[in-house]
Amino acid sequence: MHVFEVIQPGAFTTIQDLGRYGYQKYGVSISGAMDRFALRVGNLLVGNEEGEAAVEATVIGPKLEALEDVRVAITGADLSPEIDGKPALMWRALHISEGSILSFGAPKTGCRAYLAVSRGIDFPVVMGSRSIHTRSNLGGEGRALAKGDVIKIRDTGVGNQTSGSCRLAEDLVPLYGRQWKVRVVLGPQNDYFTRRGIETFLSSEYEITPQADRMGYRLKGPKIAHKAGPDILTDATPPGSIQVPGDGMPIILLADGQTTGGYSKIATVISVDQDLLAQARPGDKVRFQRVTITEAHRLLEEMGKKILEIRKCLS
Amino acid sequence: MSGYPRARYLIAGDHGISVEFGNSLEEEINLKVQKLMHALENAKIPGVIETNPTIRSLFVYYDPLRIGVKELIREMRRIEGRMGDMVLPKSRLFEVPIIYGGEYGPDFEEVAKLLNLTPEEIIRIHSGKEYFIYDTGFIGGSAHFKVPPPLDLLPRKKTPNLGVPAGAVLIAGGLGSVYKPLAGPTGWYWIGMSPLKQWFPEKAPPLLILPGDKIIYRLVEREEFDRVKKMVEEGKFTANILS
Repeated sequence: MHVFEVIQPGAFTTIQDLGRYGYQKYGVSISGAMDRFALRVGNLLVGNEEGEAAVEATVIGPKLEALEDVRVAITGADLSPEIDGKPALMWRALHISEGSILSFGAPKTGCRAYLAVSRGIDFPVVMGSRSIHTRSNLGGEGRALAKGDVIKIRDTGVGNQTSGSCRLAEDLVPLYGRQWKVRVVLGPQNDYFTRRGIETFLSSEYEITPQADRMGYRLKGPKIAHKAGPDILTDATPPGSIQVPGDGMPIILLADGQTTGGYSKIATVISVDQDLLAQARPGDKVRFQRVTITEAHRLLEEMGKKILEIRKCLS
Repeated sequence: MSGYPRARYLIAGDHGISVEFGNSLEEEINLKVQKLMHALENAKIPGVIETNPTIRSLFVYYDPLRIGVKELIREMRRIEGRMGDMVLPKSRLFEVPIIYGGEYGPDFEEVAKLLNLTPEEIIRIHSGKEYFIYDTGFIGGSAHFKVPPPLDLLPRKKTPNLGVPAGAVLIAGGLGSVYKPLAGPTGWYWIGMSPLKQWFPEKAPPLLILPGDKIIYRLVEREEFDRVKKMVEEGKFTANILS
């Protein structure tokens, strides 16, 4: 069923689910929603399974015309969503009538907004996922949404068609600033850096440069010193990897990051903070904080419990 | 014996462990990576999502909500201890047609100059030899091999090339990329072109050449290149497998 037509595509609007697993060995990035928390909650708000595909908008959101009555939820960044020119509430289920226009205006907070649609978006599954990965042309035509594209929903699916007002509790709605505390687990190549280099990394403020997209963010700030050279024998670069090339400036790889790389990796951003980084924009400031792997797993477990509670509240 | 006396288990974030067998470009080390990959896949440990074999380490991606990191390392050490006599799937030898230089390899002349060799010498060194594939990575599964001396002296380019086409044959930093699966940027030297394809997203597996396989470049004329390219594009031909 056709639910939206793209009137204006916005800056970089794609379809994303929770990503593509089992293909990193073939050079295929995991991809998927940059902010998984926002995607999962959006889906739960409209009665979907949490991993259904949704629309991911970046800074400048799209303008969409509803082709059917449809139930949606907008989560993540506040990009000033409007329905027929009136501000639309976020983090709650909304009804959009056939013929209405959903548009986005000035980006207020965060970077990436999600539009979850009841029953989930219908899009070709390739290698187990509906996510668009533009760098390897995967997902549909492997490109961002363009004017005239039509977004479909799945014919079967759990989606909730009732008209109750499902919303996320106020205290669970994340707040996005312009300064980010990002927790990391050191390694796998922290032994390539001098003690001072690691200190610099953990105690300095870094700025996100304009070279920041779904693949990764280049940061600038105090130079991180290697013991000898920055290069390693190429190995895996999972999402969250922080590479430091010869110029000493960190690069954080994210959802669409390449599967292998030849620069030493000082640390890896913990999963729950990768969601937050998805909401950071060029110009924002980042500080890294070291946590243990045990702590990282505890935080991930907490996130799981939080999602479970949200699910209970909404069902 | 090459590689570390005992594999290193490195924490790579809260979903990953990198099992490192050594720190050099050697077949013996790479074969351990592949053995552990197959052994781990056979073991089907609950919570292990996928693996990514690289030159000298196996990356294991796991779900920490399903298996604890200590338990996973213990389990992997046990599997690693028993994988000694494991027989790997038979490797294949692919023939890779190539044209060097000119519009097919804009960096070829520069490479010759940098290495103080004639173009003919580079072709003689680079083609006609069997190369072992160490990994398939980056974007679209670039297959990599160890280049023979003196080609291994070539560093990465200072200024990356922002767009090379699929099929571009590259070298840098001691490695060769058999040919690029997808168009895109590279910091490696572009010396030639192959008409073959590596990336088949609709097939399982999605790659033609896999780690453990071997390749051999064969110099072809333009006419043959165009003919093979056309057949590859029409899906009528993938590659000659010599053994």
